Amino acid sequence: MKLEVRGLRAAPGGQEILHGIDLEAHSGQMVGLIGPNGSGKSTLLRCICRALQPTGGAVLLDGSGLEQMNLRQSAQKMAVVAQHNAYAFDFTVEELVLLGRTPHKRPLERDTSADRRIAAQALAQVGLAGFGPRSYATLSGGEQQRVILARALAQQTPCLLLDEPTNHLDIKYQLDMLDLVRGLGRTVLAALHDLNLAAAYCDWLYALQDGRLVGSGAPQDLLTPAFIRRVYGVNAQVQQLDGQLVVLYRPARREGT
Amino acid sequence: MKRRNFLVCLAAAALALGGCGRPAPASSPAASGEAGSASSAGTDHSYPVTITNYDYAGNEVSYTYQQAPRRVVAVYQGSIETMIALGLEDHVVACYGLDNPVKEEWQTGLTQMNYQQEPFAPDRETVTLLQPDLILSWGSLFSDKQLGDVANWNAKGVATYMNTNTRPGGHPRTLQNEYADILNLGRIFGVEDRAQALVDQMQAAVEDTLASVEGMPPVTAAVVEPLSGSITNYGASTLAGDMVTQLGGVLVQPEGSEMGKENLVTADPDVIFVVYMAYSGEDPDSVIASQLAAITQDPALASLSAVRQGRVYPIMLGDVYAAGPRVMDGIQAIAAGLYGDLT
Amino acid sequence: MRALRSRTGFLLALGVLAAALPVSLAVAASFGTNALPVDQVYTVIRWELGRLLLDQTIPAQWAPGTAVHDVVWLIRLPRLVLAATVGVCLSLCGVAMQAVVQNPLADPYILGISSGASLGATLAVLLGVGAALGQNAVGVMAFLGALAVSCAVVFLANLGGRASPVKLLLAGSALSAVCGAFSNFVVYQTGPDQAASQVMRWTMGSLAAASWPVNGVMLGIALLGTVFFLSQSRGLNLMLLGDETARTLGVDLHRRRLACLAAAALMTGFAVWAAGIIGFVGLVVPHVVRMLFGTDHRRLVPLSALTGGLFLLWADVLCRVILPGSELPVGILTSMLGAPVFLWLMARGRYHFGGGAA
Repeated sequence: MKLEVRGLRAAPGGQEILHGIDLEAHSGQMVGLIGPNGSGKSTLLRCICRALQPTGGAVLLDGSGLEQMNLRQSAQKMAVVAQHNAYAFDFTVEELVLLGRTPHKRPLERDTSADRRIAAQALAQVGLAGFGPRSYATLSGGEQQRVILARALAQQTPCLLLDEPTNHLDIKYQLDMLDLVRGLGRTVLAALHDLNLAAAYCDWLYALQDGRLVGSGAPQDLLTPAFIRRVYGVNAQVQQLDGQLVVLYRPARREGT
Repeated sequence: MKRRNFLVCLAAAALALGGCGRPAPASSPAASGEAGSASSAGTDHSYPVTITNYDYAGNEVSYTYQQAPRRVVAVYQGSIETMIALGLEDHVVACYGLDNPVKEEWQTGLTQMNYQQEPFAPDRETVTLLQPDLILSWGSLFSDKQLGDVANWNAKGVATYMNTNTRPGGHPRTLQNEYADILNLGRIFGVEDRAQALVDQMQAAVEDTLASVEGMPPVTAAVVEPLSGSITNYGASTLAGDMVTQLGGVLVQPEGSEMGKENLVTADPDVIFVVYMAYSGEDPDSVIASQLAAITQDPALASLSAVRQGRVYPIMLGDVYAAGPRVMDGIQAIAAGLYGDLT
Repeated sequence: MRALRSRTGFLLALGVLAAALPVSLAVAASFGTNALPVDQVYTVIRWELGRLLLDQTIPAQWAPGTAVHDVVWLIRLPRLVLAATVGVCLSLCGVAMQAVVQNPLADPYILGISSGASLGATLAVLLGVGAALGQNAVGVMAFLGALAVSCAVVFLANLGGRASPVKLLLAGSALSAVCGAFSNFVVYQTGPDQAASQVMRWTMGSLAAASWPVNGVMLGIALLGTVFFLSQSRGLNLMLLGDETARTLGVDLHRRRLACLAAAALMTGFAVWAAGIIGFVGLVVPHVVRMLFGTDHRRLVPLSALTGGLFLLWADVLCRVILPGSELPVGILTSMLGAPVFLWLMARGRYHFGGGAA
């Protein structure tokens, strides 16, 4: 499924934060969204997944505009792993993952054994097989993050949006999770703050700064020391190590000495 | 005055909302004197007798008695004492709810009425099991939460009678209502002459007092009850207030439910009646002393002429609130307070 | 604990609770302020059921009008049935309100319903407003007050954008304060009478006013409410995840939230109309059920309904037994019983009310 964003503007709370964004993610592509804190990555993702109403522009899935679909239809095409997932009430892991089946359900339909199987598979995929009856609130932050990914997987959508999905994870699970997502073969748009992970896993990167697109390209083309200094304001070295792009940051203090 | 206007507006709005033609609560004393009038003609003992009384909403309800009730459940002081004063002890199957002992002359009567210490007031279940044919009590007992609906009882053939001065809905409490209640019960039980004699005594006490103070300048008075820090005012629409007015006294604050100390000092009544209520288990003398002290020992009230001249009198709540036959005691106490010993 | 959360655990609990309700009604009918021989109690029930179901004629000895019949069939049973239906309504509304405002501390009265009801009752008791509404004018006024305040809360919360849980809570507490002040003003102005204590007794809640006609209404409301909230259970689950997550799962909660709010307000309003304000049931029962059976509303809704009904039924029985000769207001007892049970369950520690920071 091809995801396109055309001239997207957003002004949550009255002040414009996105000033017209264009990007696209081709079918099966993993696209990264990079940029410093406050650059508008999350806002962009929230607009795409319809948590936020954009003030202008369009989001297209395989060429058809989101506004022509109802929420249920778009939720059948696109699943989200958001950043904050603390709930005031305690669900079991299975209950939460099963809620991912919601877009495939008619209003009063109950969960079937097929749904349960899908949920169990999704949990197994994220390495949490057997966690179903556990209480979500008692899990570690990383486990919670993986439960939410499992919920998105259970949604069985061709397109996946991830907002800083590796935030709470140990390095092993960061790699596991992105390996997993990468291996799904789905269209993925992921906001990532770790440039090394972005470089390692993404086919294409878009860089945001102050709500504007300031660059895009394949990781090895986009991530240059000059670009990193311009966008993030830090000095960095970029090296190739065994065919992998590695970004090394240099502490600002040492620069002058 | 603003406060009164507000309440009148609210009451008017209430009536408009309710969309009913009920007379406004603040009607003239003459109108409320008709409370509970009996529609059966003649004074002989012929039944049926139709009596108008009230339900918990304060609406008028008529009930026709085919004979004198024989299984009366009487609840609260006034109900019990009225039955004794009318010599109807043997019509009572059970009675409840004495805050104070009945008066000396009624003690023997009480022993014939199956008085129950517990509970203070019976619930619906208990009353049903007593199989009464008349429940005589105060308005508040007939809430659907306690005894249940008057209409339900009446439909089952059980008469209900509440003291008119406890009729819910903000109606004025008057001496006339107390007379009417005694006369109504006289009709219900076929003892009109005993009832008339009681009422005659009371009316005579009022008239004698008025006659002997004719020509004197009117005495100003306040009836108050110090209650947990504030002072409750008994205005013109309370029984105590009506007694003062009927006995020729002038209430310094006929309106309002609270007596501000400042108002009291400004009005400076000639006489202050201090209402006291000794609930069961309390020592009346110490209750009287502490109630009086709340007025006489308050430095803010030291300038009152009633305080300086020792014209602050205790008055028992039971004598001036839905008092039944104790109306006589109330009249005497208030007359004595207003005019001293006239004999 | 975990066994209860399994599917069989749930079905077993559902069956046990559903059976416990009629059994409790029958057993509790033998408790009262007066000792009646148990066989007489059951004879009355037997004949009334025979009359209702088999069209039998009741022998004169047990017929309506006899003291035992009236006590059992017109006083005790209506009250028990009322307790059960009010308990069902309150605990369901607690479940719904906690989801609607996404706050574990919510109860059926959270959005100003209780203060609206009190204001209505106060106006009726003290100023005679709505006397034309008939015998239960106080209850009807309370009902109207509750509905008016809920509507006002929803309206205010929708000003300047969609109603969020926080806006609902804020509008609710602001209107509560206003209504409370007006009630107090009226009570203060009206003065020394039994009326003020009548208002107080009314707001404390009581099931003593039960009658079969009232129960008919309440049974209907309780059943409809249970069915409605069962049908909304997925929506209620999503409400706990928040609006944004729900949208990404294909559901716009705004309408559903308003629908649940309206249903809860209506049910609470009727409960208030029939029994005044009974605290704690609606707060505690949903939590207790959640602790044992989990948060999923497909289980929470039916189990809370049954648990709430049973709880209030037995609480009311206890009210009449605990102090011989007099009766404790049921609202006081539910708080006295509910709070320690609640704290005990909380102290056992497995249950995470909010955030789950553990």
